[in-house]
Amino acid sequence: MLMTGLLLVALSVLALRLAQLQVIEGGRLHQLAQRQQLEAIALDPHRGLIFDRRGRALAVNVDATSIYAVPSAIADRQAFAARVAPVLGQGVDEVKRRLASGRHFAWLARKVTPQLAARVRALGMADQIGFLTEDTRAYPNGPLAAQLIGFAGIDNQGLSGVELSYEQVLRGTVGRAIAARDGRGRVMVETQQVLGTPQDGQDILLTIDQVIQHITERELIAAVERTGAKGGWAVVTDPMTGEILAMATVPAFNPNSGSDANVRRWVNRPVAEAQEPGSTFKIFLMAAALDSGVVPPTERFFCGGSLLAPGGIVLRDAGGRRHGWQTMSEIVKNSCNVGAAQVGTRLGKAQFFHYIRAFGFGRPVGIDLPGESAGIVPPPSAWLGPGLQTISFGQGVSTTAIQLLTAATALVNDGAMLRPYIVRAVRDHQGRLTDAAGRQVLGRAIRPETADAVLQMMVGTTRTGTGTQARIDGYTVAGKTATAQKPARQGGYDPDRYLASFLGIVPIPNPRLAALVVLDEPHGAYSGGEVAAPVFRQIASQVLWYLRVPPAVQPPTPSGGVPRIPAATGTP
Amino acid sequence: MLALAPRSRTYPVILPDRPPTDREPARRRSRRRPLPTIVALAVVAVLPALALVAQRTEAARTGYVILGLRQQVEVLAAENARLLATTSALRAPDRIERIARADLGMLTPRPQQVAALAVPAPARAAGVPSLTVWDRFAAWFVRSEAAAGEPSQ
Repeated sequence: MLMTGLLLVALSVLALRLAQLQVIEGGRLHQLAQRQQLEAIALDPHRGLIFDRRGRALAVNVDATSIYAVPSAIADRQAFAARVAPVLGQGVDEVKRRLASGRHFAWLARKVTPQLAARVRALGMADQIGFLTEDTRAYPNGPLAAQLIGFAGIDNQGLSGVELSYEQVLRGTVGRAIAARDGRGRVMVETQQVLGTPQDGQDILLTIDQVIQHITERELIAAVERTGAKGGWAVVTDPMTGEILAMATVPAFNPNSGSDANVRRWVNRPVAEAQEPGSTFKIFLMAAALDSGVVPPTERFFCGGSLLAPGGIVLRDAGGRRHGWQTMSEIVKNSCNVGAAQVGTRLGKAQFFHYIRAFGFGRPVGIDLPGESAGIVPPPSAWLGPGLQTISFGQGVSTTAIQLLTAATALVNDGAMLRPYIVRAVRDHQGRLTDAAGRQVLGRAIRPETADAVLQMMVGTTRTGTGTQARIDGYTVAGKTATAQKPARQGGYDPDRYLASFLGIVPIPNPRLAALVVLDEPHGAYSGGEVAAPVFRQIASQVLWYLRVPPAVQPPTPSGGVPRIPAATGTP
Repeated sequence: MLALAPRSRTYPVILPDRPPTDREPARRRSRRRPLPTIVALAVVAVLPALALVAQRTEAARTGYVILGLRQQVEVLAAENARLLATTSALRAPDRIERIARADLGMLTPRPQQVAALAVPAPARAAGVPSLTVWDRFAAWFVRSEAAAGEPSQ
C-alpha cells in the first residue's frame, strides 16, 4: 500500500509539473525554445546569366569558396594571424584587423581559388576557421566586350556595364526561412518555414553577337597596335533595327579581375565619352541644308583653301588644299571644311541648331547602358565668332559615338531615327521570355528624299573621296571620314593630337551594318581615311561574310575569271 | 362450538444464495494487485507519446533525406554551371582563332576565294488536287469540310 501510495504521489507530482510546463508556461517556454533552436536563414538567389544574341554564355555563375574565422574561438590572435597570413597571402596586421571586425564571424578571404582553400584546410584549424560556398561571377570570354558587359562585385552586385544597368533584373530576390539546426549544424528540413521564396535573377539576351564582337575587337586592337594610337573604340549596329551588334573599346580589361584593373579602362567610351565629331558632322549639316530647302543640291561653293570667318578667324582646310568649286556632294566627298562653313553660313544658326537637336545631339539617346553622356551642344547664342562655321565641320560641339550612329539611322530609315539598344530579351530561369525589345522610333529628323540624297553623298565618299580605303569589293559602302583635332589643355586645339574616325553603312541599298570606328591619337598617318576607314573595311567585310550577306557583284579573281568553286563532294 | 382456527404452518425457506456477482468484486478487489494496473495505465498514456516520437523521428529522417537530395541538386547545379563556364571558355572565338592560326596554320580566305552562289527559289509546293465527285459527296454526307479537303486515294 505504501509503495502504491508513493507511486501515485510521484505520478501526480509529475503530472502536475507536466501540466505546469505544457499548459501554464507552455507558450512562454515554446517561444524561448524557438529562440534557441530556430535560426533565420537567408535563401540566396542565383544571379541571372548573360548571353549573346545566339545564346552563347557571356557571364555565368560558378561556385567559389570563401574563408571565415571565428574570433571568439581564437585565444591568441597574434599566433593565429602569424600562421594563417602567409597562406592567405595577406599581412599579419591585415588578418588581425579582419579578426577585430566581428565577435563570432569575420571574413578572412572571399571567393578564393580551390587551391588556396585546400591549403587553408590543410592547416587543420577547423574549430577556428570555416568555409562557405558562394556564387561568383565568371566571364568565360575574358576581355571580350568587357566594358559593355561590365562586371559584378564581391557580393555579386553589378558595378558597371550591363551588369549595372540591369542589376534589378539580374539580381533576383533573397528568400527568408526559419529552421532548426541539429547538433551537427545541419538544417532540420521538417522544421523549416519559408517566409519568402527566393527568386533567381532573370537571364539576359544581348543584341551583340560574340563573333562580330570578336572580329571588331581583333581588328581594332590590330589597328591600335599598327598606328600606335592611345586607344580606340568601335560600334557595329544594325541600322534597320537599332540593335548593337558589337561595341568595343581598346584597351580593355579582364572582367574576371575587374576591380584590379585601371578604373579608366572600365569606361565604355562609345557611350560615355563625348568628343568633337569632326567631319562626320558634315553629313548632318548637309541633311539640314537640303531638308530645310535653304541650299539647293545643285548649288556650288568655292573653296580657295581658306575662309575668313566672323571674328576675323581664318578657317583652313586640312593641308591647305584648294578644292575649287564644290557641290554639296563634293564637299562631303572631299571633306571640304571651307565649303561646309559656307553651307553652314547659308543655313543659319537657328535652322542648324534645330536640325542638330532633331538628330538627337545634345541629349542622351536612351541606350540601356550606364553612364551615357549627353554630349555638348551649346545654344546658338553661345556660338560666338566663327562658331556657326566651325560647328558646320564638327568643331565646337561634342557627341558620343552612339549619338552619331543613332543619327545615322535616319539616313536609311526614311528620316526616322531608331533607339539603339543592347538587351534583346529577358527570360526567367525556366527559359520563359518575360520581356523583349524591338525597333523603336525616336523621331523623324529629315524627309525620306533628304535621307536618300545624303546617303548618296556618302557613297561618293567611298568611291572617289576621302573614304576610298573603306571600299569593300562587291558591296556599295556609304561612309564619311573624320579627322578631329583634340582640344589643347591651354586652350585652342593641339596640332599633334587627333581623333581619326570613320562612319560607314553597308551595303547600299538594304543596309545590314552601320559602324563607327575611332582611333585616339594615332601616330604617323592620322587621318580618318587613312587609319580608320581600313579598319571599317576589315570589320565590315568579315561581318558581311559572317552574316551571309551576298555581294551585289562577285569580286573578280586575280586572273580576271570566275572563281573556281570546289565540287561539294567528298567528306559528308 | 369451537371454531377451528385456521391452521397455519410455517416452513423454513431456504433462500437461494445471492448471485455470485454481488460478492465477487469484493473478493477480487481484495485480491487485485495495483502495479499491473498502473503499468497498464502508464502504457496507455505512453503509447501515444511513443507514436508521436516515432512520427517525429520519421519526419526528421525524411528531412535528412530531403536535405541530402537538396545538397545533391546544388552540387549538380554547381557542376552544370562549372561545365557551362568551361564550354563557353573553350568556345571563345579568340581561343578558336588562335588555335586555328597558330596550331593548324589556317588563314582567313581572301575575297576572291569566297564565292556567293545563287540559291534557286524553293520549288512551288505541288498544287492541291481538285476534289472528286466522291469527295464532295462524302463531305455532304458527313457535313465536314475537313473531309472534303482529304482527296480520295
